Amino acid sequence: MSRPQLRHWIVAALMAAAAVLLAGPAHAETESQTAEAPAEAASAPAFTAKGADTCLKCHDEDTAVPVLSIFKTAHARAADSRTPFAGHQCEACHGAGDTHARGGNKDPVPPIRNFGIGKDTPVAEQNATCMACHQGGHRTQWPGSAHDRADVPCAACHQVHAPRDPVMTTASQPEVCYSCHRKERAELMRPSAHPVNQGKLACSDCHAVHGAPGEALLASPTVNQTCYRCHAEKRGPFLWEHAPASEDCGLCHAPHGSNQAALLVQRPPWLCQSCHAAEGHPSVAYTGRGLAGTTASAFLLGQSCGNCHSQVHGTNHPSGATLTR
Amino acid sequence: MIRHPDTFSLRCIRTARTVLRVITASATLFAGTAAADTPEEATPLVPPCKQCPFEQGFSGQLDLGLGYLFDDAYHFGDYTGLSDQGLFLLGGASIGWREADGTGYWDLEARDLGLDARAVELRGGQQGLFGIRLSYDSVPRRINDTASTPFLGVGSDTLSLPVTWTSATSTQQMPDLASSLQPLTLAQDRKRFLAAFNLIPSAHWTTQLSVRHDERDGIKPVGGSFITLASLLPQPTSDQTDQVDLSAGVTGTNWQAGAAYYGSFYRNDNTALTWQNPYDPLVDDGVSGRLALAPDNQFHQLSVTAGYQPEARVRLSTHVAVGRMLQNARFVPASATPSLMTPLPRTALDGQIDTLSGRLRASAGPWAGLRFNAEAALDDRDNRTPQSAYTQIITDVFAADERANQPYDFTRRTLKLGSDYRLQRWARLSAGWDQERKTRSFQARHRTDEWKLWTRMRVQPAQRLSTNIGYVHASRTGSTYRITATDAVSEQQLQQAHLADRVRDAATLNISTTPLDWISVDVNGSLGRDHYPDTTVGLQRRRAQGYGVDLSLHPSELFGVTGFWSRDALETLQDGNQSAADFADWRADNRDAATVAGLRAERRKLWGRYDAGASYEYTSSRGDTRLLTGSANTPFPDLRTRRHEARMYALFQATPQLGIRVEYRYALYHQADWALDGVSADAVHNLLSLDASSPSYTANLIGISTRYEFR
Repeated sequence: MSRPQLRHWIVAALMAAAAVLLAGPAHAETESQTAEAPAEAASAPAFTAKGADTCLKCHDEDTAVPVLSIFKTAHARAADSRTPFAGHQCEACHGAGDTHARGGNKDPVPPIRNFGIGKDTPVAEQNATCMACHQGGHRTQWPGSAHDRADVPCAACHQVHAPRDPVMTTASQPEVCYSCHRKERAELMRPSAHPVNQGKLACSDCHAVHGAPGEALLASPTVNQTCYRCHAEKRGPFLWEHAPASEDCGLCHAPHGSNQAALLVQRPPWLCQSCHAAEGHPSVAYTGRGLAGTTASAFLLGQSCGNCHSQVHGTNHPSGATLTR
Repeated sequence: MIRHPDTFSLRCIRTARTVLRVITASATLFAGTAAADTPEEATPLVPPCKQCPFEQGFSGQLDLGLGYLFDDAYHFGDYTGLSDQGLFLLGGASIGWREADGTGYWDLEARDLGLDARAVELRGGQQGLFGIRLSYDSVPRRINDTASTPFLGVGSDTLSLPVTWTSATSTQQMPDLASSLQPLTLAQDRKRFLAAFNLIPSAHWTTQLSVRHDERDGIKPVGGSFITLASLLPQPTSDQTDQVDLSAGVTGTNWQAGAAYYGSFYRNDNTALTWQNPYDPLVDDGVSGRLALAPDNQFHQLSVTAGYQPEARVRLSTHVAVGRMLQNARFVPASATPSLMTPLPRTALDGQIDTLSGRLRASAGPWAGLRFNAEAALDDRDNRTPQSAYTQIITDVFAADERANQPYDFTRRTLKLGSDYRLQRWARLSAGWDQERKTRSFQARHRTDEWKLWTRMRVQPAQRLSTNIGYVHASRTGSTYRITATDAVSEQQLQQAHLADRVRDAATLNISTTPLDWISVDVNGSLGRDHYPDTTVGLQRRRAQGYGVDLSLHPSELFGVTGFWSRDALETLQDGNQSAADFADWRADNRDAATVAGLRAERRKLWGRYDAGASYEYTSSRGDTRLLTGSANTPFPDLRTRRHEARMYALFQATPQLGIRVEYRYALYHQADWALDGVSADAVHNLLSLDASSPSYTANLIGISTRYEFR
């Protein structure tokens, strides 16, 4: 390991240690305010004696909060010991509900833990309920991730009662994400875009929404490793590389969508001229005189610079140093 | 439970049920030893539910019908498969099976079965024990059907010209060009197969293996040239990528850990594309050129991830991945021109790049409402490809000096510190500082450093009103920008866009309100500005702005209307120097704008038996390019794209099981692009183009299908 790398890791370790020390003493005075997983709610009210049978006396498919579709889901499999219906049934997630059930005729009805954006139950408590069972796998990186820090409740994206949760299906997932990510929705409607709106690519094919090791919740550690999952032909290693392409696909491509072909962030030749200005054709001002007509220019029309320098992602041709072969 | 079963369907269902039980029982035995301790006996915390309508047996829906596309609309079929006028099958299914009082399950989903965009997925297994997933997805890419080319052998790796072809020094002097043009369709189909298996050997362990196979076939355009005499060629695509993901994870009471292997194996059926030179050869035997196509390659990566929560408000997590990219495909010869053949220093690259990604995150909340977050990360790309000197045969025309390959290294280190603080119950403030250092080899600038200060504030002054405001300021500098005495004046004045000093400011605003329970309104706005203060030639400034509004009306559970509109604009200013002056002597001002809108209305259970809905989407983009050179210039026409797409449907529920759905879809698309339109094969004297034009179409589609629901 080189000296800069070593220094980098020492800084990281010190930082983590500082965070632990900082939080440690404060914990004792704040523990009572932490979100409780349902099974740990020591001071919670009593559970109902009959569980879901009590709930179904009032809640069915015709009430304001339809519930029966939960029985079509994986959560409602009593034979699977991990599921809510192998335990306290509805109350496994919604919390002990004896008081709520006995107060059904009161106005307001005594509250019970409920899920979603804008609900009375704090987001931390909502999510702790889910994480009590779902903390492994993809959720290992959830704490401190972008969605966690933005106080996004699990139920903002997941419809736990739906037989087929829309966010779990490629075709219907984007609509769920668009409810917050309007900029990405607009970009994916541009003339050149990945086929997300056509149901051929899910947001989660590129983004690990529960927390990820990389930037922008990308599923792979780097931008390029994420892109190479579908575009492995651009991975190389090539004999002749195009350095920016090897560094970050996002330097030239807008991943969600663009006005320009091939999701380019800018139209060639000007995109190329933002890095290439050598005397000769790279430095020339290509004006409207080069449009189709008497002085039509190959530097401008067709694929512009790509008419000759077509191997912009790199090439394995021994004579390809200028990316023309 | 089956309603109104006839004898035949009952028999089918019984048979299928028996088969599924045999499969799940077999798989259970297969997983037997590992799962011997599972499923754990459920603790009877409450009595078994008597009223709960647990799903069991078969349920689902089948869609079957016919559609008709009234127009040939090639580009409409991009990713949808709806290209050709005529009838097509409307087919889809969503079928599930649940074991009674057990954990066995199977789900089958199928859509667009009658189109090139069909997709099928089967999931099944024993919940809590194992799961199987098999899927197939076809992704049709429809690039352009207006192209033409004089080249023969389209689809192969060798392109020739008609035997009567007479070459010339320019396209306009090629006597056989017009008569030799043949229609060319540019398309690329991807077919994706996935098989995944996950096993839960105990309550705390999960393991997963998935194998994905992608195949691509088709034709796409690629440029090939002899010095500056270029041709756009139909490049064959025929390649496969296999990917393997193997992972295992374990969870404890306050910790999680996992390890994974990822392998990716790319194979290309074509190693090179050789094409006959349509121009007069610039060297006597320069009758053909050769492009190398993407070489076979592999990537292997091992990763570990772990999370630890020593206290309720403290969280540590890490992820480390080490990978290796490999490529050793045999080189194509240095030139397609026999007289210029030169020996190579190696027969293959023996390329190897080692990657390392490591991240450590800490999150701590010393008291309620306050949380600190820290992250340190390293991404390293260590290119261990051997260096050699290769004589450059420039575009198969002449031999130039030797060039040594430059195995490019790249390292990125980041440190992020941030905090989130709840000022009041209705206000939350977040702020942070990020530092990023990138080092690169073989580049004009060895090191760039960027720091970023950011802040976000969320204010909810009332129950029905929420506001988010964000601001970012970043500054990038770096080591000395290397220029050499031999660099041209314009190169000495250049700072490449991704290496240049840069100052970035960006602000965002979002206001969300729900004035009534059934109305919500969202307003968004953003402003961004990049400034390159030390650049004479290159990017000077980039300004982005966007704003939009979303509206949602849901007066009842059965009726809803949603709509949105947004506009984004990006202006890029860059300078150049074509006269070796002491200053930049031209400026390009590129302005891109896009407006999108959508409207959707749905009404369910209209008159008890009807569902109906309609949607409309609109995209308009415009590109305006202005070149300022100090004298009058021919202006560029605008680049324009317009897309209107409307859908309407009605579903009549004839019986509880049977529904009839009618759908109408309309699309109008028009694009104007001066780089394509009017650029005939001989429009440019040194570019033999594909004579393609921008896609424009009108599409009308009607579909009638029946939906059979059962359970």
